[in-house]
Amino acid sequence: MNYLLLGRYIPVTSILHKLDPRTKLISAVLFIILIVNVNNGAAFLALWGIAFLVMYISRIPPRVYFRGIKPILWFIILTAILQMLFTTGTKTFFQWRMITISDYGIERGLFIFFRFTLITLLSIAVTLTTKPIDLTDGLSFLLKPFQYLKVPVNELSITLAIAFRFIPNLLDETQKVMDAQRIRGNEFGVGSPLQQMKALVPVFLPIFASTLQRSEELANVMDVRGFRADQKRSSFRQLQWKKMDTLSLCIVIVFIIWIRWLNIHFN
Amino acid sequence: MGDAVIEVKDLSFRYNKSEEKAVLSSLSFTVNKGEWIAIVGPNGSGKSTLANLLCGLLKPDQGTIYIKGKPLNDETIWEIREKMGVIFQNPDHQFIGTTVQDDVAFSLENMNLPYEEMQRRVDRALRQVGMAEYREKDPSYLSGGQKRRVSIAGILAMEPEIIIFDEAFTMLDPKSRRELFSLLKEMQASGQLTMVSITHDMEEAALADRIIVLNKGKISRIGTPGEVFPETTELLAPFSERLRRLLIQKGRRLPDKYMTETELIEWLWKYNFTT
Ligand SMILES: Nc1ncnc2c1ncn2[C@@H]1O[C@H](COP(=O)(O)OP(=O)(O)O)[C@@H](O)[C@H]1O
Ligand SMILES: [Mg+2]
Repeated sequence: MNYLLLGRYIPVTSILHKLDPRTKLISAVLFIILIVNVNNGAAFLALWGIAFLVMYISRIPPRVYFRGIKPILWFIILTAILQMLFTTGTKTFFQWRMITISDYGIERGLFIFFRFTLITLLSIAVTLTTKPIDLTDGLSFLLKPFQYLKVPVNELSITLAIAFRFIPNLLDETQKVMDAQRIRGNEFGVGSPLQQMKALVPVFLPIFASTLQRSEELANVMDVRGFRADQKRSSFRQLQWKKMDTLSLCIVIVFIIWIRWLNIHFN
Repeated sequence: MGDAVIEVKDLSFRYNKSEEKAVLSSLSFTVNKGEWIAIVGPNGSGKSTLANLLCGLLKPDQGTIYIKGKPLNDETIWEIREKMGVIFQNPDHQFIGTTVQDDVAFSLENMNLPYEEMQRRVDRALRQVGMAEYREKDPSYLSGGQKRRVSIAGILAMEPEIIIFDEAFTMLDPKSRRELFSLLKEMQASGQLTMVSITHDMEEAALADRIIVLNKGKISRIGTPGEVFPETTELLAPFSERLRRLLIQKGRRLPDKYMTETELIEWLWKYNFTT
């Protein structure tokens, strides 16, 4: 359950926290596109440098970031190992039936590992330093052009905002039900996977029921407070683009050009 | 009588349309401008059902509700809701915003008001309920009384003409309840605000101008607290009334009319002096 909390917003004061969510989202997307297309050691080294720089200026300890990677670490390692085992190259170190370990395979495996971890680190950097509600606002602003393609951006953004708003409540409630079950002698996280899943049934059923109940009440409240999905509404929360945002975006673009150059130059 | 803000005519409602027995049958009453009406009655007597009908969450099987002379229906509902605030029982399920001020602004956003106007109204509403310094806080972590204040601010910001409370103060401690009641009294003082408060709490009902007693989906009595309390036994009367009846039972001679707590205290200490 705690996995869900890993990328959660941490309120400290840093430049990253003060940036407009749009700046962070655009930068993250640009970097992700870059990371997917990078394929040499020098460029990856520079990217790691940037990742550590981001962690440093966010004023959030690196262990928080690495805890965020942990849940998917096995998945990343497995993917990397598969790449390593099934890619042929110029120099072969080991071969047995389909399995080959080659210089090229090792490189590919390592790069896959870097890509996943870097992308995860940068995404976590965004969610750790941005309130979910600001993230939603930023996202819905950036998705606005898609309205012309009949994408219901406003509905999506209010749905997201409400979902984020209730996640902490849901977690609190889950904790309460689990504690109540523990008192009754139900043990969690022990026994075979099947037993573990069975132990969770009496937790999820009441949560599910109360969530349904809650959503009905919430829908009624939204209704009587005049919410209509198909109507234009104004926004009380205003995003504010500052000089700092323009500057940061410029720096990001400079970095990206530099890494592209490294990527081409050292190939 | 003043002009009617809410007019209920021959209202009937059933949840299960195939059933004979109605949850509400042939209710008729009016609420005048500036009036505070309390609707009381035992559990399951249909009070919440009536509240949901009044704010258009349910549709009557029969009869009509007129709000400021307009029948409540699909065409008029949204216009009416801009002038009507509703507060339900459980505050935890009613916050939509992630901060106090966002929540207060929710109705205003739906009314598509310009940003400056929203700022002005949110500011004023929060000051009115004494929650201005909590504007950036997450409403989930406030106390019960503070949560209610935020809900009330959300409604005041709309500058409504009607407010409906469905057992909105039941879960509060006596102190916050008293504080909120005096806030309601203040709000009502302008004479512009019409309030319908559904309640179990007879102290709250005693503050109203008139009380409607609902029983098994029918109105069993309408009148001022002074008229309703002495003659009704089906209700749990407010503390002062229970004490008065108890004293009469014990053979003391007390005035044969409803007395507010202050009146009773006033009377009691005089009584003690003369004996
Ligand atoms: N959603 C519903 N579906 C079916 N029956 C309901 C529903 N809500 C309430 N009732 C029934 O309608 C009656 C009146 O309920 P309600 O209006 O909640 O009473 P009160 O608020 O006075 O306690 C009760 O008998 C209750 O069981
Ligand atoms: Mg009720």
